[in-house]
Amino acid sequence: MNSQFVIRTPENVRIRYDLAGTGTRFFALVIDNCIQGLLLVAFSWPLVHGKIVDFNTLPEKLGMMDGLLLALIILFLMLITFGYFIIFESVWDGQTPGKKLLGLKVRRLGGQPVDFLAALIRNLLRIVDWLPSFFIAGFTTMFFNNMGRRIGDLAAGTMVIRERRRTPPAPISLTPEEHEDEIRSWLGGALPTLTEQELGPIREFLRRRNTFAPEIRQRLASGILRRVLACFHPGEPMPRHDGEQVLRVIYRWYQAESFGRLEESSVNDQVTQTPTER
Amino acid sequence: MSSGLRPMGIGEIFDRSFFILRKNFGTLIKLHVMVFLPVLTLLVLALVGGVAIHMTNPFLFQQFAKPETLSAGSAFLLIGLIIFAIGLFFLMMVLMHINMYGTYRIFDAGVRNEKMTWKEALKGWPLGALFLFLAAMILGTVGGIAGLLIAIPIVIVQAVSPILAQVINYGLNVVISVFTVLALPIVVLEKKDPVTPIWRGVCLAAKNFWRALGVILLYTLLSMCLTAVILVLFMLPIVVIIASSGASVADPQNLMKYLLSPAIIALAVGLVLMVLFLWFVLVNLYLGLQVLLVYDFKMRSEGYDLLPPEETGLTTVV
Repeated sequence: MNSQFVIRTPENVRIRYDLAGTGTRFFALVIDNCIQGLLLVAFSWPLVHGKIVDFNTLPEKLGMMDGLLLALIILFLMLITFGYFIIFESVWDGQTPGKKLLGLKVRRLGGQPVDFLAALIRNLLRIVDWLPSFFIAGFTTMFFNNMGRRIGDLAAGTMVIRERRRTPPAPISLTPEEHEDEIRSWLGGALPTLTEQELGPIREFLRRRNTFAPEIRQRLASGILRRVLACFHPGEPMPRHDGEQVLRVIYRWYQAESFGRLEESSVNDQVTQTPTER
Repeated sequence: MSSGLRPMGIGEIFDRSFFILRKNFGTLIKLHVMVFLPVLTLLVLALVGGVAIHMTNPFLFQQFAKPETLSAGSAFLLIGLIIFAIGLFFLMMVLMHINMYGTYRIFDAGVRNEKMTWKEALKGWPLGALFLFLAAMILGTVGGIAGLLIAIPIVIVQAVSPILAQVINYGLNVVISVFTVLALPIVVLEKKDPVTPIWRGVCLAAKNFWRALGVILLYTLLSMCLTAVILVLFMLPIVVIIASSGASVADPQNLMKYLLSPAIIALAVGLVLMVLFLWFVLVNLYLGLQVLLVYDFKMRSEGYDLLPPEETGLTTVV
């Protein structure tokens, strides 16, 4: 379970954010640094091979180098080092390529998207987070901060959250079972109310059943069915139907009764309405 | 079975491990201190004893450099010191496994969203730590034998292509690391004998090879970065001191005077604490990752999150 940050709006709506963990942020940083490195190589390659800059004699030539070219080189280096993060986070909804790949996002503490000023502050302070080397100050701050915020985040009033999946998991499609009516009547003919705690394992098992070895699959199906049958009033055991078949029938039954709205809720219910207190 | 457990991605495994480490930071510190307290006490006593002996007989330790001139009493003392050093080494090995046992249990509780004190973590430590130690010895022995067997073909390949030999060597080391990463935590988490977890760990890792490999490689990357930091932190004071002291290395007395100034001592203490902190995080993070991998693989391969193993009868699945 990830740590969460909950914002309660004036309209009494709770918005929950999953805070990004230290490990994921580190790997997003590694990806971004690799991209920055590639950009640097891409920049310096034509300079060297185009003989625009000869690094062997550069120290001597610096004094004679065209000021504009030198300024452009420094500007480009700054753009890659700092501007990369500032521009991406302020333009791309709080994400850099590394963060996007790992599903992370920078947000202000109130949940609003990060603006240019916040992105500027949090990324310029990377210099402080970097001290004394390799992000030790930032890592230590993140480690001891409840929300995993580094010095730049603390100064800019931002946090890094885990972007939830926009697409829900693929629905479980089940074909009609042989002897389905027989199984339903054996189960008592009526569909009892199953809680998420009872229905969840069925759904997960059916979704992942192909990943289990046959023996384990059979035992899991039997065990889950044994738990769920307490809610039904089955007749005598019917040995020719295995546990998994009965579970499929139960789940299809629920799918039909619920008009297909059985899948676990997706990101879109991130906003939940809480009852106002009287 | 519902305790919020579900199969995790690699990033989530790392995040969860950091999260549990941070949540139980104080408990882990207490565990480490209490377990290693005997050794620390012995070291302090030895240091105090050594200083006391040196003050009464300043030339005694110099005599050790020339054993042929040793008196009976000095020889006895030298033998005693050697036995003490060997005993201390074995004590450290034992304490390390007791510490590992407690740390695994704390992470185990953390995965299930439970809290555990350092005393509770050490419940059952004699047998648990012994099994852990034996499992580690067996792994080490088997690994050593495997290493010798692998070395023979690698030496042959080396004659043909050194680069290929290196690639094969590293590749095999990585594969062996993947297959053995789960053995020790399974000894503690499933309370098994020292032998069964090794094969069980191999089977679980084999079914989830790429995931285990990904975690190990990413941990290696993280540890390389933090190790580089530790090295920099050791180099940093030397550079700062030499650059700022103005004292020449050829003038040791002046240099010593500068080194013993309060500012330098404060800097040294701060850096030592930082190094200890990073090392502590690195070591415990790895143990946490092992525990989380065991849980994740059990969920993926055995449906551990769907039903507890005692209900499925999967307590000894291999």
